[in-house]
Amino acid sequence: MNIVVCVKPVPDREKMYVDKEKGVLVRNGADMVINELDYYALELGLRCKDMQKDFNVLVLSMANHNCINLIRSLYGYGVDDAVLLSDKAFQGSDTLATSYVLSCGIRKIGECKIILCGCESSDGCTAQVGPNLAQRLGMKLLANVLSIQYVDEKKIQVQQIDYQGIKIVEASLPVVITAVSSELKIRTKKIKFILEAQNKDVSVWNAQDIHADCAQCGLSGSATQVKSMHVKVGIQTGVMIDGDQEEKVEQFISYLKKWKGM
Amino acid sequence: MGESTIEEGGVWVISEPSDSDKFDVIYELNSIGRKLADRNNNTLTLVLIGYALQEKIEEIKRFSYDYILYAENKMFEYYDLENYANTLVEMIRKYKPGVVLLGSTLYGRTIAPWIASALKTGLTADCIWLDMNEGTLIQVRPAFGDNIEAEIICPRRKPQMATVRPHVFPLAECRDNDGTCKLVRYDVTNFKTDFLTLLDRIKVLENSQSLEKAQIIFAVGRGIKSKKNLDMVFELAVLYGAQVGATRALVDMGMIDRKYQIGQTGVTVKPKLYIAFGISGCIQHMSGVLCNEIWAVNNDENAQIFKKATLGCVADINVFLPLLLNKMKE
Repeated sequence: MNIVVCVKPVPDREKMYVDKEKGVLVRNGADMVINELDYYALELGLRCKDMQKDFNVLVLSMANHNCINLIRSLYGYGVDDAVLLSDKAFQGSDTLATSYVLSCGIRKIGECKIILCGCESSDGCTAQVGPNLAQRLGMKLLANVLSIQYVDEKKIQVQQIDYQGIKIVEASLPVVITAVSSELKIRTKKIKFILEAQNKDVSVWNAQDIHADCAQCGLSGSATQVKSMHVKVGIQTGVMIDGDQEEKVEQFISYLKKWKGM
Repeated sequence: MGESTIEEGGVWVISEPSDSDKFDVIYELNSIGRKLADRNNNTLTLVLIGYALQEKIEEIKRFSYDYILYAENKMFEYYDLENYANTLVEMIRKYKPGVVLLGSTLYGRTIAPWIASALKTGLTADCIWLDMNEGTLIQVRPAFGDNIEAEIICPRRKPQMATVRPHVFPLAECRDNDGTCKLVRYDVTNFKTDFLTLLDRIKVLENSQSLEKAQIIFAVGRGIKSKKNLDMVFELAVLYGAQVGATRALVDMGMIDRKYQIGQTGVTVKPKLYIAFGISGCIQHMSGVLCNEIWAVNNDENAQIFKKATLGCVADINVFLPLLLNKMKE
């Protein structure tokens, strides 16, 4: 039985900035990293495997081919297989097209009973791919999951947040789970796995490999279009308080008093 | 009621469930929805699903919706995403609205993509501005941090769907019920019964309304470092008449209850003054802060928060807070 963890390479936010004078987003040199919430998804997947040793954990990613080493590095956490979906036809996919491509990959993998992904990505922030996958694959959706209490071949128990609060629910498999950040400690890589990974390959599949209909991928498969992007005008640089600790606190208090008209 | 006459191509607002503490979002969507419907010379419909809805319906009638389309059934008493979503998809297929709006809440952000996927249409998340141009919905949302805004359209598919960030649009004004709002009942016969089994309810999310309405917020992040410092911020907040808010990081560390959480997965706040103690200023948190007066105290002079702050102070929280508290008490 397969557990698939969908992961997304995103630009390292710390290294991106807005050039206010030129009014552009500077992404040059921003390394790609795995989206933070996807690590929580990965940890949940690996915990399923801790509970049921014969489960296979695969990572699946739709990304540019140059992300292959980033995906390969995930073997270090103890995943069994890694698949990269990469094709020119996938470029420019919105969430609808992205979910389509991922669902084709998941169908090709086969025997997938648990699909995991981070609730949202740090670059797109839409939180749409998880629910979209559940609908497409006809699986139950367990959104905003904090932890997994129990899993076997047939069912899973999780702690999830919905608008009514935090609940423990049980669902029969198959399910799509979206992970939110939690008190969960994400495991560190193991030397043993890192060494093993040197002999492991990342499977790279293109549109044809996964029998994807190119009309549903990339720009042509996307329902939404970005018409324009603009840097917000009128961004001001603030006042910085100077001095030693004592002076800083004094000044801060005078600002507080002034603000309240005291 | 008989067969209804909701016009095709109108604007729909899909309500939060009636027991949601974010229910009032539909009155914000009323104001923007009205504008979009008028631009399009079409009607505005509120869609409500649930059980024992009459009280809510009476409340909604006092706002300027042309129709309330509702599905009332004992089966909806238990919140099951698929049953709610399937019903909404059926309704949309039957009446063919041009635009469908939901609040960008925990509920809206989960159910909207499911619906959009079933209808194979586009969905723009977390919009902060909407307009209508000859039937095309112009959707503006933040991208790559709040410094950039992207304008997004969904030109070839219908309906055009968007989730809207709470508190960006004003609450619509309510009026006397003048009987112009028509009720349309929708009967559901097709229910899925393979529900999730609810094993335990750990806690009901506490109401965050006082935080959402706060005029002054003292917010704390990971940089606050200790429980002792956190207690000092609470004490300062009382002295200054502020409410305390927190980042997700601090909530996830178990330092503070989830009801204090501001940001994309917490509440959106709209204070007049927002002071950040030990907050780095990442987008997931800052997108929940709609405020022109942001002050920041942080020990890292390169923290992103200083790019947004109108007043900044680089200082060690461990030293700054006790000094501040002592002097404030004087």
